[in-house]
Amino acid sequence: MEPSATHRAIDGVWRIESARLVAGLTRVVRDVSVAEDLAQDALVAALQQWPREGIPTNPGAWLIATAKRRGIDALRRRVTLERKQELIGRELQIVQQLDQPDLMAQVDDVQDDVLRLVFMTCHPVLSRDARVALTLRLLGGLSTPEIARAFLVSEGTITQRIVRAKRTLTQARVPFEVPGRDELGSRLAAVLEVIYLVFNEGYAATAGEHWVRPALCQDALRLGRVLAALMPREAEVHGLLALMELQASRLRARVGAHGEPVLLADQDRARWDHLLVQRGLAELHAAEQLGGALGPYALQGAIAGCHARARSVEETDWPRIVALYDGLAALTGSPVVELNRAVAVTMAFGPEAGMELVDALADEPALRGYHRLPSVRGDLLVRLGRHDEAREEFLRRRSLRQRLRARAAPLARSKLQRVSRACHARGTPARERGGVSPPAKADPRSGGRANRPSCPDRPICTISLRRLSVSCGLVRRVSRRPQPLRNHSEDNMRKLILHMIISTDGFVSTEDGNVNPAAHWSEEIQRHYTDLFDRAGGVVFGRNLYEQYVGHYSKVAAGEISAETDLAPEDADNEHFVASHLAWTKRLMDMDKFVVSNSLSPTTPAIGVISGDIEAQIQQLKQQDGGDLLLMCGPSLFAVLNASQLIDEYMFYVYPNALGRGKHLYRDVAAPISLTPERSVPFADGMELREYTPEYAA
Amino acid sequence: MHFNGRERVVIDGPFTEAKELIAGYWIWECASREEAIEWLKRAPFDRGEEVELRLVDDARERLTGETQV
Repeated sequence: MEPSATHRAIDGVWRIESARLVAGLTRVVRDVSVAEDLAQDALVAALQQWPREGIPTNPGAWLIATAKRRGIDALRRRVTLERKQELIGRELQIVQQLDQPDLMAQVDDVQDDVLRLVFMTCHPVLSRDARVALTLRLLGGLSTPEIARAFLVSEGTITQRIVRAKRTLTQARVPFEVPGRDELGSRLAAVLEVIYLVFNEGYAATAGEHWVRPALCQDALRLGRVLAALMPREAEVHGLLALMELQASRLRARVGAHGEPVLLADQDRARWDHLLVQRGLAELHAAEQLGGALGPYALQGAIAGCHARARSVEETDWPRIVALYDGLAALTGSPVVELNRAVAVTMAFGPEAGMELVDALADEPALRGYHRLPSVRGDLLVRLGRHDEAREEFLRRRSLRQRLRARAAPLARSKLQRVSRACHARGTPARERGGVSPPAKADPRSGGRANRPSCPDRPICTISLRRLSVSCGLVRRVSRRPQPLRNHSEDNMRKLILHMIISTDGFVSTEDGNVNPAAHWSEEIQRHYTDLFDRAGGVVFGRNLYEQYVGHYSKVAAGEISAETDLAPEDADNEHFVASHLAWTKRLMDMDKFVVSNSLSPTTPAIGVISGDIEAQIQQLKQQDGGDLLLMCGPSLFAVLNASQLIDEYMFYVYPNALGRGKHLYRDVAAPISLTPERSVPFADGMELREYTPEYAA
Repeated sequence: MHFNGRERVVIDGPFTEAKELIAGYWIWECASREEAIEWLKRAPFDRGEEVELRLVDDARERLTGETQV
């Protein structure tokens, strides 16, 4: 066999065996980090030996025997070399565990071990990002570069995320076990969430050039199928798998000839993948056969199943979809589900019935600012022949957006929404809409379609993600124990990076204390921010900026303010942009945040408050493990930290205007500052990012 | 692939038209031909059976409509 074929074969063996190998080893050594190291050692050995000697008859057994042997050798060497007492104790214990002759016999029980491993990598003690990375790595058998490519972040980010996740699991002494009945429901929900997050990132990518990434969908499907085999008695596992199979069956038909998204109603159903449809329907059947009320995934899967069974929009079993939405609404209580339900009611029972429901939703506070409400309403009015009212509704939709923007401005968000057309023109195409599209112009080719609301292809995934992220927010706090202080050399201390939006004349805010009105979100800036915040290990805020910034974006992340309202009106339909903005706000909420304030008391355990000896505390923060820290503050804190030489890099976001008055960046700076220019990045909307290193840090 | 006891022999094609009985088939989704071979080695045959492995469909093409290169 030529080397490349051997390597592909080793890849294949790894995909087949790695989860079982890591799971089996974890059970023996009781430490996922040690187990993965041993498994990786075995892989390295395989890559050295197999091309020479051929692939062994039983590669799985070879790998585990090698992992065991290498583990014993390496640990014994270290035990001899090192004299740290507690390390010796622990590692001797591992050697003894590995040395048991019946290790292979124990590993017969591998299927259960894989299941235990799933619950470990999806443990709530980890952040959502960490769960996803660790699960793909340990259960999906993906390499770090593969995960980094899939999520379009740097390899370093993923490596660090995985290392930290494993350390957290060890420190928190997360047991290697399937949770008991009392907590199985919530823990299983966390596992399903991770798989669905992977799927959704593939199905509706929030980053990158392409708005679907099928490879991620395949990985999620594979994890889902493995889990369904491991937990055949859990209806929601089958429900999630059904949902994913059915959604994936439409992937091919969702993209038009020129890469544009195609709405469900307009999709060529012959292009649906009928193998996946059959798999999805079979899973749905399995979920229903288990009895009991269907959970949220199974209900969504069942709705997708109704679409999958129908040969056309007209032949769709709309009354059943209405009934399923009833169940979903009862479970989620979400007004957005109610809105989708109203669309289904329209399809099943006519526009009058739908109108009644939509009117009842008109005063729903959670839908205030949700531009699809007037959009659905306008659509229904067109169908009812009430064209004047429909026009009003569409005007309302527009003014609603504008009013929201105007109201948001005094909140002094750091970004306003005017967006450069240049950016927008290059932007990713608007996504296939989850709700109802605005009325199409009458098109003779589409027959009756023009007056028909498009049916929701992705009924409620936004909601479920929102709900899930809320629950994540709660459990995330568990992991926010202070990280242990470690001795670092100066070199690998994490950096404090100033992030400052200024005008060309150096003002950070207007006279009224608002952020530069030229600042706004463009898709290009969003990409930059997504990357920047993904790489950062935390944010240090001045108090004012913290209250404005986190105050606003926490509401966006929680769904209290819809993400569209942060963007320019012409971008509100760009679902890719909206989704990546929302994902960024969630990332911001998920990050470690520190507020410098002498008055603020810690209102929530998720926020560190820095007061008193600010310099010493920031210094200490910089010595902790993790990614670099972003600094977002006003002139006074900037002056203090600059004087104490704590800022390692400056990032100025210079907007092409002059304010003349307001808060000046150097207002409180006593001595001149010398800077070495590092990089300058022009953005299409005229903003220029200028990066400098202060002389003291150079 | 030829199965004999615990032994598995991979025989490269191309194969002529099958005149023997086809007793059954599986459709598998694998990342590569080599992964499919690794899976097939795990099949519980041991009495001289032969299994042919053929590419029938490209999953990426199924999902996107694009041909994998």
